[in-house]
Amino acid sequence: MVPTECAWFVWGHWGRVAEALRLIEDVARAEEVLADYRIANEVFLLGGLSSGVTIYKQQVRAHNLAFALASSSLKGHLGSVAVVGGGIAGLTFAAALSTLFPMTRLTLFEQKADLCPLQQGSETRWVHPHIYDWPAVGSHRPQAELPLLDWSEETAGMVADTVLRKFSQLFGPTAAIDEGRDNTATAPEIGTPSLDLYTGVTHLRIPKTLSTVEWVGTSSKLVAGHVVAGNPRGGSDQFDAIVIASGFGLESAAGEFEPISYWRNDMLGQPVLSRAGQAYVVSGYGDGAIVDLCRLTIAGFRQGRVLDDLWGASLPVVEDRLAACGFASAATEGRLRSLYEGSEDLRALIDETVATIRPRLRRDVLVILGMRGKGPPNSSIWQALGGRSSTLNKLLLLVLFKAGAFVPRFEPLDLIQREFGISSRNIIVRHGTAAMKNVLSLFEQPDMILKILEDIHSNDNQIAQPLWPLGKFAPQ
Amino acid sequence: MATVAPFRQAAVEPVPAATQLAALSFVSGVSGVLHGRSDRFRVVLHRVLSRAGKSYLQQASPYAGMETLDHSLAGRVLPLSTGVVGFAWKNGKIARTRDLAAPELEAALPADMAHVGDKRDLADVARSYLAVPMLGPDGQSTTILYADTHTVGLFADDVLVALIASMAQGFCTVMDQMTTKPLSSIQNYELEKGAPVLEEENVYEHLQELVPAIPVPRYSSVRLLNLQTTR
Repeated sequence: MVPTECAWFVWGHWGRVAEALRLIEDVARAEEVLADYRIANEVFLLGGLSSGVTIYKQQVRAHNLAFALASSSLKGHLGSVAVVGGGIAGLTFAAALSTLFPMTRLTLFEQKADLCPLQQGSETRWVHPHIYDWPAVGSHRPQAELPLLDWSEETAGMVADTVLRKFSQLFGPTAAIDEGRDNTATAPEIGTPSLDLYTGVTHLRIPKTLSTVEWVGTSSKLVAGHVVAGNPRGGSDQFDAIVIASGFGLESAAGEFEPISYWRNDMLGQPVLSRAGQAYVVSGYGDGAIVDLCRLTIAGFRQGRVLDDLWGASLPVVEDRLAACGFASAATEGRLRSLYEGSEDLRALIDETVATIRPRLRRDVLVILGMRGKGPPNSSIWQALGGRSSTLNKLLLLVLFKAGAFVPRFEPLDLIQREFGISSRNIIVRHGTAAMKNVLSLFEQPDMILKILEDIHSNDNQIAQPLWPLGKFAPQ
Repeated sequence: MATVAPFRQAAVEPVPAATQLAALSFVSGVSGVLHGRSDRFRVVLHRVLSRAGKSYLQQASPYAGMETLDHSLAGRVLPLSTGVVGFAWKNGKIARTRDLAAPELEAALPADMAHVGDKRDLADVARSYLAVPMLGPDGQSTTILYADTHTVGLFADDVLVALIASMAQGFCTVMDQMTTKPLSSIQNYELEKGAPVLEEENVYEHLQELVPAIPVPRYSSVRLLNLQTTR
């Protein structure tokens, strides 16, 4: 072998070795990711029990899970995959898996009559992909920057519309043909991934074999982003993998007080038209509760714009001041009280912000914030500020407290209602979702998986950062 | 001698449409300068992309100068050490193909290609390259202008390279101005720069040179180009 040929051999061999090493690395990473999502051998939970569930983060987790399945030891055995939940997380997972495995038969089950049922038509909620990461660099950027089903800050309804249109583009206009019943459907183009879609699912169980889904629902198809319902039917099918992407949409009640979904349209953000002012109770101190508190107390509040509204061109300076005093880490670690008491600059910044926000405080509503909590009753705003809400919302809560924009109360909700004589329809319960209960209800033998679900919840390992290798999903 | 990294198909990641349009507008201006000097060339802007704590090169738009816009090429992600662009990134200086006569170039090119494992057909390989780094306030490249042509010696012309560098400086200045006075619906959203992703260098080592005499364009405030549309 002459030297040049020898060099080419070495180079070619090195290339193959490097590629093999990359594949091994992908497989190892994929197995690690799968372990964080696995409920049973081939059953996976997508994000439902994680902290910080946002649309964007769920979509990142969906891409991560699809990458992991596609690169793991299961990849050769994914002939059929069931996705339970037709919200944005479920759709993103289905989209991601279908681009990696176009030949996989995907079956999507949605309890409601339509896809993205929570966000569709929701025009009073503004969603921003990264704002809950504030004050991290880049958290202002409006575009989600996802390879698939990408969107930019908008009302939740418009985001759902964008996601559905892009989802529909991937699966073509004739997806989910109702077998033998829909003669108007034409065959999908070769190479277009196929999707069996069941909406209005009234019964769904995963029997103890943990490989089968038993259901009753309406066979539907997707046309230009819209669900067209066919005929109801029931079935019991075995799948190579089952992905549960549901459970986080339905919210917990507070005793006799039933929550209205966070995503339903309401008038909280609008000025009261009657002469008499109105009183509201917001119960809770998580992100949902604080957003509603802001809508009730700040005129023209918009989540994606509040930073500019409060600080305008001074925002970078404010962010530097917050960084200098360690606000974000104190907020995450529940140390805001000691930080506030020890930092003169933070107190000055809060006072300045209070002065800015005061002219925008609404005078047409009385707002009571119930912060009793689920465990031992809270007795101070600082305990609420030690909760799991985002840094931005904690800052807003502190500013509104200092501005005297709401009445903090720690009694049970029914006592607050009686004391202030508040109509039940003006009680807004934001106690988070009953995700664990909702997920368990899908299983014939919930005790089989209770422990692993508790572990997934407490470990909170389904991190919402892109873990897929660059270019794994071609941008849509 | 550098160990050879295999050429492989580049990954593609999304580029915001506003970033693509800004990049394409700039490179279309540069392509206007090259028209008449060459009948076969390409120009494109690369940006430094930050993702999950790592930094890469990313092609910010399709190429200008080709017969049609190939949108599939926008978003290609490469290690920061890739080719002449990586050479310019590493040194923070303009890089180009040396001033060689055609016979000399034709003799040297196959050896340099072989050295870096470039197996392309010689007829498809450009004969003159240019990479103009555009440095951010931290002294690291924010964007890098790349051009190649089949016209031998085109970028050996100092006057032409200085003109292109001057155009790049104009782009940097306007982008800086956009950070203080942004359009109402388009802003630059910076991200934290990550650790540079490097693979083995694969610049044509005997053909390419640095051009220290021509000033490198600089941004005064833009560390990462990431224009997005706002509401």
